[in-house]
Amino acid sequence: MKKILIVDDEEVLRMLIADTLEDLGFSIEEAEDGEEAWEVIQKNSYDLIILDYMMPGMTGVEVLKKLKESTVKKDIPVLMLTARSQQKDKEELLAVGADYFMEKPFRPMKLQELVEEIFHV
Amino acid sequence: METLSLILNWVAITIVAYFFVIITIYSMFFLLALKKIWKEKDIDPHEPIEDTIESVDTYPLSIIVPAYNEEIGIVPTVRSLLSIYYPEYEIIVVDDGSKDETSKRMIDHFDMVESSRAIRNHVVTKEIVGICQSTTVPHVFLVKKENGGKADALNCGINVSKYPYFCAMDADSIIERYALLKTMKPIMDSDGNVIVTGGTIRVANGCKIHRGSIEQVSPPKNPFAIMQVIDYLRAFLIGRISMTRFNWLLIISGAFGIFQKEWVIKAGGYRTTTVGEDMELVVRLHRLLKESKSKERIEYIADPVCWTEVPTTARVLRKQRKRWHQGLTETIFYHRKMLFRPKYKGVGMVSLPYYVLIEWLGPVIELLGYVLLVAGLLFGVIHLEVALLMFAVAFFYGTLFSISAVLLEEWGYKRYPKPWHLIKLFLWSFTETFWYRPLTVLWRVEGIISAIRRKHDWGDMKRKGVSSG
Repeated sequence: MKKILIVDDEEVLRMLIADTLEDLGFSIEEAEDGEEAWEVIQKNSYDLIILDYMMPGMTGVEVLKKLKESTVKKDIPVLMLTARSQQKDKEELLAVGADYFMEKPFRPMKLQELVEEIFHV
Repeated sequence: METLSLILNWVAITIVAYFFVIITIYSMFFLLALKKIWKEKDIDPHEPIEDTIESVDTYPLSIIVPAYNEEIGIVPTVRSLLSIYYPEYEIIVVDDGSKDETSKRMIDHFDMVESSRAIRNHVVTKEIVGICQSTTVPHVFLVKKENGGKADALNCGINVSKYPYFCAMDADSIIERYALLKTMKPIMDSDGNVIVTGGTIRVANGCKIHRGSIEQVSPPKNPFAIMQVIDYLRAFLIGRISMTRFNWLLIISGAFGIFQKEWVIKAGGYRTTTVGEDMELVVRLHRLLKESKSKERIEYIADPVCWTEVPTTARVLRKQRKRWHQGLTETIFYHRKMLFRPKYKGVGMVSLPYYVLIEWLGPVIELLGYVLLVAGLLFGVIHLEVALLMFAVAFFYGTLFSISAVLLEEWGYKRYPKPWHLIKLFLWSFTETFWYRPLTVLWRVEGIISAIRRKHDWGDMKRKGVSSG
């Protein structure tokens, strides 16, 4: 079973993503901020990380940077959640190593389609 | 005494004849349902989704969830609606002046703030106190309004909704992930000529529910709930499948139906003076369609499923069945002019008369039969042979179609995965005539009496929160 980590400070969004993906048969873990995310990433292995761009404390970009700099974890694909107003930041995220993007707010159906595409379901 | 006995024996034989007519009609329904399920049996359930997904973008949908004192179930219900597979939709929870914390739970959980959303006055409703929108999931809205009943809450949702189609659903039900897409399919396939569609309602009691989804289907332990599993199978898999074939369907269940908003507004919205607002609206739409000589249709499809919590005590079930039959009585009364009028085609000539003579009058005749059977045997006023014939017909009628419905379910849909699930349903079917049927018959007759007295309310069903877990 593929394992996905959801990192978002908004509980409702974590819940929405978890509900959507769990129904598809993925195993889900959640982290509510960047620090917690980096901690669990180091301990566990994931097949995909869904990472919110804007978070208090360690931001999504900082987590992404650390991840892509890590020799062991750098191959885990990352799906960044960004707001529409953060379009211009996409280039920076791409440069750092983000693999996929999803604009917030999103419909679960779109997320489902993207995740299925990532895993070639 | 002899004359009385003669009269009573003839009454008993008339009742038996009446039930033979019903058995014949139900048998025809069963054969029609069988044919339909046979045709669709081997269709891959995902095939309609693949077809539909191409064109669904042009059919955005507002999901209206009327809620009254639903503080336990409302958040899990919205949560389950959020992961539905549909491209463009909004969720509008209408708090109909709840006395509990329904609104607070919504506002706290979904980080809601006041919204300045425009409201259209398509249908007159009780006053709206405020509209809130979620900041985290912006397609979730809460409308707070003065108490006006379920129909008024649905009308209010219609006024607030922005999309051309709306889905009316109960606050404590679970729609399967692809159910909206499948229910929308007849509308899309007909290019909008189907104006109302509804799916199947099934009993959630006994099922394992996780994060607002049905994880494992299994029959409930509670005897009242298990009898309702059979009841629902019979009503949906036999009755509605066959009725929809001829565009005769008079009910789209209030728990789950999709409507074209324009037609509902044209019809004047939900009627607030009846407790059977779901059936009344569908009959009124049929009436409007026929009077305006329109070709639009109303359809039921069996595959999309909405799971709902059913009453588990005699007290609550009695209240529900009384309400349903009161609603039926009121609908028939409002639309009595359609009866046997060729202008209304099959609805006026067949389905409405069917509802009057079979569904509405049935419990009265059946109750009379039970009274005659018991009193006749106690006081020796009816012949033993006639009494035995009555009992045999009642048993046959009660059991045969229940078993047939369970068989149709197994054969066509296989939602209950284990063999003992079906054995359990079979065995309970045999007990129906001895306790469940007489009770529901009595309650339905009480519903007729309530309609005459014209009392109605929300029904005060005690919820456990079916979507939680």
